[in-house]
Amino acid sequence: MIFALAWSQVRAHPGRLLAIVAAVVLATGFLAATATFASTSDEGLRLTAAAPLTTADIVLDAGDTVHDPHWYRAAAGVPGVRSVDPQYARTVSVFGGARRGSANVQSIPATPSVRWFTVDEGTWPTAAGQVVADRRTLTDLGVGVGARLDFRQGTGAPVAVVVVGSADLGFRPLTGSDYRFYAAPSFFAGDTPPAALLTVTDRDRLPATVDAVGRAMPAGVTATDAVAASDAAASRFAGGNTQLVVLMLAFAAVALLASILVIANTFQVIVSQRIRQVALLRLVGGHRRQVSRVVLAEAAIAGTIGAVLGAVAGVGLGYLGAGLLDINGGGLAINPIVLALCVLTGVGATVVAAWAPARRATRVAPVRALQEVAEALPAPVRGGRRLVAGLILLVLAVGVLGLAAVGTSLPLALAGGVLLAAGLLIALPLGIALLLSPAARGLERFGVAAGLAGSNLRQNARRTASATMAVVVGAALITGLAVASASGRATVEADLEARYPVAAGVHTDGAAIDARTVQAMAGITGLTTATVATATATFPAAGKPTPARIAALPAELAGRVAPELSVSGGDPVLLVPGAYLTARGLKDGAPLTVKAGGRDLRFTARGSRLADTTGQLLGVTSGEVLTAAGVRTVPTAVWGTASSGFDRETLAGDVNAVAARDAAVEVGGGVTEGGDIMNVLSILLGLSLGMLAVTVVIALLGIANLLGLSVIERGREMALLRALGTRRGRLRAMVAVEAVTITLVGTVAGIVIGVPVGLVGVIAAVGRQAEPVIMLAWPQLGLVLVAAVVTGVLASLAPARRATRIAPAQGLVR
Amino acid sequence: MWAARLFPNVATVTMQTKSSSMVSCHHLRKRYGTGDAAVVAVDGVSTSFAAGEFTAIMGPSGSGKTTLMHLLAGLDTPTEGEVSLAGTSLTGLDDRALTDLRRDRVGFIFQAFNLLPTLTAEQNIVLPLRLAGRPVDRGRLQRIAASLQIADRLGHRPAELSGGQQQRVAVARALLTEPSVVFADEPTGALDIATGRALLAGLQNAARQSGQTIIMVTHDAAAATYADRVLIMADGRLWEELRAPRLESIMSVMASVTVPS
Ligand SMILES: Nc1ncnc2c1ncn2[C@@H]1O[C@H](COP(=O)(O)OP(=O)(O)O)[C@@H](O)[C@H]1O
Ligand SMILES: [Mg+2]
Repeated sequence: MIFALAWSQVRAHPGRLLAIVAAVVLATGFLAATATFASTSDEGLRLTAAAPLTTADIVLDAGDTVHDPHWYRAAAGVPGVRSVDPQYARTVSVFGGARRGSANVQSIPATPSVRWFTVDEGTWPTAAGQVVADRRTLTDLGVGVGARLDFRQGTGAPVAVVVVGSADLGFRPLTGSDYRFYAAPSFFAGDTPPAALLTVTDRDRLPATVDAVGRAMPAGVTATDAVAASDAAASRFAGGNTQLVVLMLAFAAVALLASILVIANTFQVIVSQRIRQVALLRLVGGHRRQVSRVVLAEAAIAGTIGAVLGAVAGVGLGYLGAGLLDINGGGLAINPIVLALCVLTGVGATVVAAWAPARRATRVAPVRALQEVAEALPAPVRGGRRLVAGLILLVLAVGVLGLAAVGTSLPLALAGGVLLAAGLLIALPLGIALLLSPAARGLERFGVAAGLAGSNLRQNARRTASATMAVVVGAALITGLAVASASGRATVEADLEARYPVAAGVHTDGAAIDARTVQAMAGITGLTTATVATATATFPAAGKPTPARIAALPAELAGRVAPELSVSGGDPVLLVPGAYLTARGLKDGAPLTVKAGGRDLRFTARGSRLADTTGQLLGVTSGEVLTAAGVRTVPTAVWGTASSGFDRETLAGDVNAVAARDAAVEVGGGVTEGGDIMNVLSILLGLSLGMLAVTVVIALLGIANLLGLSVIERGREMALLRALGTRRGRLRAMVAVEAVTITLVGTVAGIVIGVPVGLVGVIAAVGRQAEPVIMLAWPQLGLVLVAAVVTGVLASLAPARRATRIAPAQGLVR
Repeated sequence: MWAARLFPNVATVTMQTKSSSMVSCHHLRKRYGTGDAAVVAVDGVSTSFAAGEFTAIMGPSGSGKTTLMHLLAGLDTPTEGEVSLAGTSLTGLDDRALTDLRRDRVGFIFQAFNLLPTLTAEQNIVLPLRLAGRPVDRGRLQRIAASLQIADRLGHRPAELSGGQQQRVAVARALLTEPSVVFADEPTGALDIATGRALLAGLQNAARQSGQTIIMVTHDAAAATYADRVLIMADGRLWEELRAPRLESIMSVMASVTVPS
């Protein structure tokens, strides 16, 4: 009966529930997408990790104690073993492509049946100088099959290789390197293979063969069944995307929260529209319980429809996401239980959101059915105790956040953030409701439409406030993320600029640097370069931080990066790593004698970052000093400085491209640092933009719905306004002003909350390592405000159209 | 009595000649719905309302009074026929022009829901002026409010006013703008007898003193006696027209229409 009544309500006004369904779709979709992404990428990662082991029967693992390059050979003599293939791997630097980078080179088993991928262009490598690359590697390097590249392992001499084939692996292997190559075992001559792959003649006798092989192997080598080994390898990678999944879950949580706010609001309006119906139900003998159950049943119906739709959409999105990252090689993987939980969460959230409105419905007196519905008094804004509780939480939160900023503690900052969110959720709706009165008075100055909009907002202050909350939550998150990312970037930039006087440099081991490299470096825009000559030198030993060369700076460069060199009188200054001074127990300014060019040179030692931030440990002095001493120097390095605020990524890319063409040089200087943290900060910024999209959608839904319902609710008002001579345009403006007021108030509140929280986050995260630089991300804040206005106007379109369609005579009679 | 204070020289005012017609309609028809469900609410009504004339429209429930009034006021569009209001033909007028015409020339006192619940009484009263961007004559507002005995209620919202006070706020709104035509749909329906009579006297004097045209729908024969003439409707048509009506004559005509035929 209850369900039938609820269903009849849903059937009669499906449009009313549209916003609820949409909000549930969004929230559940996020959850399901996260779950699908996690399981699909997990499956893909497992497959990737296990792939090299899937073709073998037995895997041999050599521990660190095994140093015999031929340790695996004894296995061939064990009865039942058909083939033995040593598995080699090397990490090398690759030169000759568009970019320079690290590569993982693996051996291809000589036994064809043990090869776990096929070559789809070109041939298998047969000689030491031949390699196969995966498609993505070739694309990234900008070369094709037939290309010649240089590999260099460690500081050894570069080795020329030819790419003879390409393979499409279907996934991106997890090697931790930029590029991936495969070579014949002969490429690895002299290496000790860390593993070997075996096949057996009789798979039925596999356990016995595993034992026999194990006994025949030297100490430190273990033999494992390949199936067990691939499972073990796979499980090591399980949850390899935890960070990403946690971020997505955070998104989903915010979407869920905002959806609950929107849903609760919608039900609030629905219930107040139905007061007479509810009263009638009570009049004919419906209990309070039954009344609230009708509302909750409706919530369950709408929630179920939305949650199922959301789950379907989410599964698709999650799979697509894994596909974008190339980790869907294992196919679509869904855990049905988790998916069911997602749907249940969606339904549960809807029912929870409908709880308060359902309770409100039970308070309708039966006699209301017999009365003309009295025009609602402006709902008094009550809830002093809630406000106090919320304010106490807020004060606590501010205290904790302050402590977090002072103590640069990220966990404290997180705790403060949670407290803040809780306090705001409790106190802010009331605060906004109280704010609406002055806002309405302010709006009255902007003409009749704005004034009417203001009084409408004030009339439904509580409802307006909770619609605003959804906007506040989103805006706070966006601005927090944006400010944190911008300030983080600025902080890291400033720190790197301070710590790395040389923005980018290349240097050889001591050989004369290629003139083409010098020229190419000079051609990089934004970089002011100078060639630096060095000479071998013997410093008094101090362990690790002992330099082995002295750099002679040209006067012009010295003026820019090392003014302390130009001190006249006494011994010439030699800049050395601060760590060297410490290790030698020397004070800054202590005398130091260094042997160079067969002579003892006396210097005044000064600690300087220039001595250890260019990629080499150096003593740095001015060119004239070495010339005067008759020490022969060789140009071995190019150092470049950049003006403050340069684009780190572009510069790093340009320098990398130069280095890709010269295997003799290494890259040093500021560009080699900060990449990881910059990536994280870029992701944060991207997240904030993604969040903006989600918030806009949810706010659009919530506000359009709120206004749409309130236009229905205020149908007679609209009709009266029209009868009294209000033009359609003015009515539209009125609805738009209401919508924009909601989005703007919400956004401003969100910014006021989000900016300090973002700043505290940055200070807590990087304050210990670097002087925090505060950057308010004005473009993003501006974008958020513009988005707020646009969202408000868009949200008002449909309700406004409905408002103008109301005939002037409608509802003015009994 | 507030009506007497508003128009102290009531007794001395004589009937003006009503030559020019302020509102007129010609072969007016309004049909709702189609096919079997079609209802002809107004069926070929032609009449005119002179400037400064107070007309009451009577008739049994469902006879089309409200519909006729809405058609005359430009709140609804006729299926056939024409209406002209204050010298302007409503036929073919676009929404904007129609809206402005209502705003500037017409006042309304509805059966119910006269006031916007979110606005105070005063804001409701000055709303048409503000919509037109016209200045509010504070003195006049105070005089009208005082005469309607709502001066101390101006800051209240409709929900805080009694039904009679709400109706008087609506009257104040209709009078403040000095519209050429005031339409009133059963304005006394929700009022006690004394308040109702006072309101009727106010309308009567608005016609006699300010020359405003009053068109009032009512069920109450006693209320209709305040009018200069009574139109009696039945089945969407004009059945009878009484000039300078007396209670007995109205009652007898009404009795003849109401008897089921
Ligand atoms: N919007 C409408 N849709 C359909 N029928 C209507 C509508 N308004 C009025 N009617 C019908 O038109 C007839 C006249 O109604 P109305 O003008 O309200 O009468 P009165 O005001 O005299 O009681 C009635 O039969 C009524 O049911
Ligand atoms: Mg009627």
